[in-house]
Amino acid sequence: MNEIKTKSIISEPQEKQQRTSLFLDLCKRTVKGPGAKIGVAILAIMVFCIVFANFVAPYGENEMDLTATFATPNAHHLLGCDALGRDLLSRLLYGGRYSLLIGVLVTIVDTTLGVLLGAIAGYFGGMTELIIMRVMEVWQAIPQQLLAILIATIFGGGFWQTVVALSVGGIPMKCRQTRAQFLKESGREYVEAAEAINCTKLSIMMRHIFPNACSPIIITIAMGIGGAVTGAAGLAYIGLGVQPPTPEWGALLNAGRQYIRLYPHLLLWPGVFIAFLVLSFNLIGDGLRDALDPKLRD
Amino acid sequence: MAEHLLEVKNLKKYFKVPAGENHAVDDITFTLDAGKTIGVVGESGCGKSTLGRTIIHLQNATDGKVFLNGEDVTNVSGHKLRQVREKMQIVFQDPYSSLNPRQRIETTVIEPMMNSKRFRTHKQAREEANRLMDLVGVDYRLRQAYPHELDGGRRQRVGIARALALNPQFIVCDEPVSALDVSIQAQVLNLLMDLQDSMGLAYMFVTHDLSVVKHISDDIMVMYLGQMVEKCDKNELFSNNLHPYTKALLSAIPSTDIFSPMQRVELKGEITSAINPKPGCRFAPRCPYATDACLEPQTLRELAPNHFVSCCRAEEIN
Amino acid sequence: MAKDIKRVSAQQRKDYMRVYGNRKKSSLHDTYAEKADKPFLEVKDLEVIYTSNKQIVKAVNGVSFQLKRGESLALVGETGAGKTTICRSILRILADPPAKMTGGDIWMDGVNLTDLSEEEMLEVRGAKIAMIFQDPMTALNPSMQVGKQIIEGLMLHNDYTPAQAEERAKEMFEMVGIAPNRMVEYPFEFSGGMKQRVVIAMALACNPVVLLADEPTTALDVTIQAQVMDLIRELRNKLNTAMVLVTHDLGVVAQNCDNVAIVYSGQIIEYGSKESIFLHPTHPYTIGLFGALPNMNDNSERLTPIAGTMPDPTRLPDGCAFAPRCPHATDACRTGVIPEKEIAPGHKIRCIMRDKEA
Repeated sequence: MNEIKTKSIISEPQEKQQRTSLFLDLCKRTVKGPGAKIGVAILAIMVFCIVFANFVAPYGENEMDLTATFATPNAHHLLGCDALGRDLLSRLLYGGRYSLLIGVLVTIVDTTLGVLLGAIAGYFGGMTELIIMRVMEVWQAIPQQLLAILIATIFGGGFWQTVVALSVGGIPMKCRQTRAQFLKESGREYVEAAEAINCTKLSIMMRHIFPNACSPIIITIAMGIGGAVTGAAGLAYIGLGVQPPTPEWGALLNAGRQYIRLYPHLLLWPGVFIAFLVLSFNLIGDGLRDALDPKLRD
Repeated sequence: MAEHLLEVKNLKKYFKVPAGENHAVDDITFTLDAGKTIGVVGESGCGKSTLGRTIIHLQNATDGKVFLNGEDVTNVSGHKLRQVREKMQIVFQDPYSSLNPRQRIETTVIEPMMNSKRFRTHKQAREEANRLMDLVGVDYRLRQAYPHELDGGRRQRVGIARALALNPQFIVCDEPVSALDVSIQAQVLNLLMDLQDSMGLAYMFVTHDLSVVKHISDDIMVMYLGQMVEKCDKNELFSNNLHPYTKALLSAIPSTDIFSPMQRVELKGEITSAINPKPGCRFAPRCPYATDACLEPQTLRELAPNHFVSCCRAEEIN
Repeated sequence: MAKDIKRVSAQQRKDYMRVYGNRKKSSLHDTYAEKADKPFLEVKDLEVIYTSNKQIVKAVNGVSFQLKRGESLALVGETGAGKTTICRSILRILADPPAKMTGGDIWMDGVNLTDLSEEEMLEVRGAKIAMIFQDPMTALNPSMQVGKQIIEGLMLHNDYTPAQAEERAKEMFEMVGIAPNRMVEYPFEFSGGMKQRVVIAMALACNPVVLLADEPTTALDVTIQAQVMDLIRELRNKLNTAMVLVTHDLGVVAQNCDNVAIVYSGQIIEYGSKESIFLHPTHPYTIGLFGALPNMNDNSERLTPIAGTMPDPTRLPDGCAFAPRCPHATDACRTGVIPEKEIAPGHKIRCIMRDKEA
């Protein structure tokens, strides 16, 4: 190319470049409201205590103190003890690792698969879309909990079985959501522009459409973790999820169930922990929704 | 054969719609030389944007041929398509939606170069991108910013830089200034003309704004419902137009001359659609001069050198 | 729904009587005619701010103008200059928050519109001041037959029986060139130009005295634009309606307006008759605007754009808002308030560097 007489109007290389980060921006906007602040605070405290349970928990995961069976909350055992004299607070903190991990894993699995299928259906359209979406519709016709129970019954209880059982039910919703977003975005001009500059189909889907389509998916993810934690607890409660002695919260609920009339605290505290975790994710999800809603911008 | 940069022959693009077939582009023929601009004007729905998109292979042609440097590049695919696209680029109308909102400005300009493998390293591509952004006037300060932090004029400059990144020979400008304010519009038009002078680019300038098209074009093509009704040199079009639609279109532009009231050619009705059109002249239902002969298919005739008209009564009415 | 409206309108009529005295409606226009040479609509020192993210944007900054019966004024300027905001404040339909009128008066026929209650304002809107929006879809209810929408407005502002209202609506449809049998159709069945005609029919149905046209033809093709502007001109002549036309198209201004106000960053920086503005543009911005426009009548190769862009409205510069882009700006331009001065009869500018017509 030859020399060109046009000069930029105000180009000064010494000037500092304006570099905003969309991620930091999103974080800032998310915690703008009081609800999301509370949610983040609760989640941070819970995650900290759960991750560092070795240090935070007063007793071991399965440490028994037979002199303190069914102890009600007291100075030694802040939340009391269960039938075998195990400290409930410690078990809740260690058990949180399972509950939280299930929540996260389930969301990762169903989001990955759902988004992938939805992206393919939404971008390529035609026969591919028809087949994927019809399968999803049939899939979605089975209630999510029922499907989880069915799979759990087939594969038996356990950690990984729970993850699979819960993930499967969440795929259709994520798929439909992603497809709708991809359909909307793929009609925009920047997608056409990407095509004109020789981007591959994969690059158009992943680099161009996905970052613009992911807002509602992020919200669903935040809300979904809480849902998966309750789902896992539900499965464990009816004896199909994670099995005792693993102190997963649903399993703790299940174990406390038989003593509900004499020692209600065995049921109460796991319930409270689950409720707070779900609450925190929902509050954050609401914050994200406000932050990502284009109508509420500025 | 290779004397023209671009040669479009009887190009057709039909869309299937529920009501039948939309003849969005119907039998368009023209040639364009390097360093020249052809303006395409017409009202919304006349197929002018589709024409541009079909030529640069964003849409497949239904029929007809496109030659680039004498080579038939109609409906090519795969590796060949990628090569052809590097020679033919597009600048979009709406700078608000044609840039990926989640991509930094610099990445947007680098991306086509990385796709084309014109540069071996990212660093080289980045240098070239910075040179291009200097050229089109994107402030250094804003190169790491996201599109929403730029105003319309600067975004359009980014769009132009992205189109230039593949070092094309031919650029379709699809209403590149109609979303911009008057003072910014002039900046962008001047930029496009400077780039053309220095790089020998050929433009196809699609617009509905006749004053803009007069300013930038060499030849002007007037389209009505998918068909080319008149094509000639720009001065000829404004001084000696022959087609009744061209006359009506030109007379409708509000003149900034406050002492001469407009001499309007009144048109009946409104532009309809090109779905399942009748064989005759598509303008006939609104044309003040229409006769039975207009219901027959019209042929494009060269009434003067480089002055094509598609009207059987062109001589009578002038 | 319809009943509801009637009930409200009875109440409004009472309010109206309170404001305008016991005057018969049919004679209203006669009274206007008597005062033909006096300004009918007067906007004085209008100020509007927008609050967003705790930042204050001065959208309109001391705008004043007058309008006589049948006269037309063009507000010309770029996106974000505050043209639409001026129109909306006259009708008092600013979205509050974020917008707020912080100062100024709007006098219409001896009544200060800013003092009226919301109920009284309802009687003014549509009946005496009507507005045409850029996008006809914002003014039409997509799920209601267009005929019904016109009839609704007519019933609200007049003592029409349903049959009379329908008769009047038919008349209006014929006047704007749409077959009255299309009254039963829904907005989506009309093309863009046709929709704008419906909006015009709606706006003019109650014989308003002032028409605010906010870029009425920007969304339309040139041939349709010409038809619509012809229509507006014709109807205005018939009804002697004054018009404020917001546009950025100087061609439309030249063909349709008597006076021109050039708006920049919320201020009228040049005001005058069409002749004085088009023949003697004096403010550097106005000159720039004319230079930036591709001209149909000459063959110059390059346009002369105005350098730079509109100032950030949250950080308006001191002094003249145009100074950063102005080729003639001096230090004096960057301080204090730039006063308005008359450089020829009726031709006012806000520029300290110029003192006579260019």
